[in-house]
Amino acid sequence: MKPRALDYVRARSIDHAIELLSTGADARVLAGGQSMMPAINMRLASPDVLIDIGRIDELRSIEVGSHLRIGAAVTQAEVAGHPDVLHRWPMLTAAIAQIGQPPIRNRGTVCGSLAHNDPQAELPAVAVALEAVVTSQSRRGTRSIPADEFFRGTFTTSLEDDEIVTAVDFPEPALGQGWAFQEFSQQPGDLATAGAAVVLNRREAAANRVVVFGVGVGPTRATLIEEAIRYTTDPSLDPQLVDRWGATLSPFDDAHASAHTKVQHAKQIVVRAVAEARGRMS
Amino acid sequence: MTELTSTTSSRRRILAPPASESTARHEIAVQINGEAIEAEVESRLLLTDFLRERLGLTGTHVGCEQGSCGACTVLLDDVPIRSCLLLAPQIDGRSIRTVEGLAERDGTPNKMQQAFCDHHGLQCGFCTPGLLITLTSLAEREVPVTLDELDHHLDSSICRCTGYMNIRNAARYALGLMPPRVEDRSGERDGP
Ligand SMILES: Cc1cc2nc3c(=O)[nH]c(=O)nc-3n(C[C@H](O)[C@H](O)[C@H](O)COP(=O)(O)OP(=O)(O)OC[C@H]3O[C@@H](n4cnc5c(N)ncnc54)[C@H](O)[C@@H]3O)c2cc1C
Ligand code: FES
Ligand code: FES
Repeated sequence: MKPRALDYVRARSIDHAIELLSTGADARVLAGGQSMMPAINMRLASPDVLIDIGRIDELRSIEVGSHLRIGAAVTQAEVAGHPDVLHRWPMLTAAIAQIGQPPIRNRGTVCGSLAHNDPQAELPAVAVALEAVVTSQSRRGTRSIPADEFFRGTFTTSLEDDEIVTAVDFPEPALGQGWAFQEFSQQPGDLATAGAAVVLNRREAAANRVVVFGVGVGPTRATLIEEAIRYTTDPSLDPQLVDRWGATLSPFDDAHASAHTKVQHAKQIVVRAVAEARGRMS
Repeated sequence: MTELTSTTSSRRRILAPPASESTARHEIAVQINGEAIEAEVESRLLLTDFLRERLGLTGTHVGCEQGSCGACTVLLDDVPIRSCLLLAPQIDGRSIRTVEGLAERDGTPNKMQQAFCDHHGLQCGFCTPGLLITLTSLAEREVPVTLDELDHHLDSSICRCTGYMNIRNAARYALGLMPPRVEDRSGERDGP
């Protein structure tokens, strides 16, 4: 189908975008458009105004220092292709490789995927696992929102309607940290039926993170499993524990898999991902 | 379909959206297949429809309008993207290459197009423009392409006819990832 009547404005700066967003009209931010435009073409969404932030210079940079800062107009392909990211934040590169196909990643942004918070999307889970911090801005000022507080359920975040994400920061992974990113999807590039992002630390086991996605309301920490692996170096997980954890999940049936199948996939993937992350610890 | 154009200078001017259109209009200046074009477009016009309906460049196909099928893939500043997920006003100041812009000026097919002919890389041809665009961008890249990468890029277009084998062989040939001899092909998996 074709879009309903709407207006399009290209924002010149962050301030311009915020001003446009706070006029009270039914205005939505347009970043890469790889989730927004399918919804508009299918008329699942029909905002009055689209505010294009894709060409705001202030949002176009990737900064690498003690942490990684990704501006809101930076594409997924640009992040995955950045040599420092591959070297120091390999989980991001691995996760982005699972998003759609190359032309999708050439437009889709990292921050857009976080703001969209599709429960089957890879990057929200990675943001929680790597303890990313989202920076947002509105007329009221700037906020830093830890990933743990940012994702609020299916397609929902703690962003207010008049707020835009300007960047996301990923801290430097701790020395010797093991990581794994695993997912099951119907075909390569499809949204995940179930997936897991795992971070294990040698020094600070309390900072271990086992984050699953696709089987609930968005990225969800598997606290039962996080606690169980805190005091052990055994790469395999106790099957009874995994079953008990599986019973806490409540995914929906959909066209691709029943809730039961999704739970089975999630259990297998968590077992595999924890073993893989253990293997990568040094 | 009527293509309303007036040529006043070296820039081709494409005339207005339909009078009934209610959304805001935008003046855009773009390069399409190397030609400078100015046009007035309405906010909600998809790039696919700008190319097909206003410019008459019907080589860019439309399958799904949700980014999945790849038939509408074009190059935006030399990067392959889905033209069904871009609004025409978004391309102001940028350059677009479509399948019509792949051949040499004298009509000689580019290496990928010729390889598709030689290896029977198409049947109905619906997916072909998108694949030629994606694969030409791989061929024009400086970093060498691996077979895995090629398969990954083939995955970005849906082909309902060929089973991908001949497309893959054509691309391998054009990319210098030599296609296997006929007797070596039997063990290969079918498609990406
Ligand atoms: C064929 C296809 C396959 C795909 N496969 C996958 C997949 O496997 N995994 C996956 O995770 N995704 C997938 N996607 C979606 C893709 O990753 C999107 O790029 C991403 O979900 C949204 O990013 P975007 O920049 O395109 O945002 P947009 O589509 O522009 O925006 C998405 C939403 O977020 C809001 N938004 C965006 N940026 C901001 C901001 N800076 N501040 C405030 N709000 C903002 C918008 O208002 C909108 O509501 C796929 C898309 C397609 C078309
Ligand atoms: S029409 Fe654009 S991807 Fe199918
Ligand atoms: S040749 Fe018919 S869809 Fe590919």
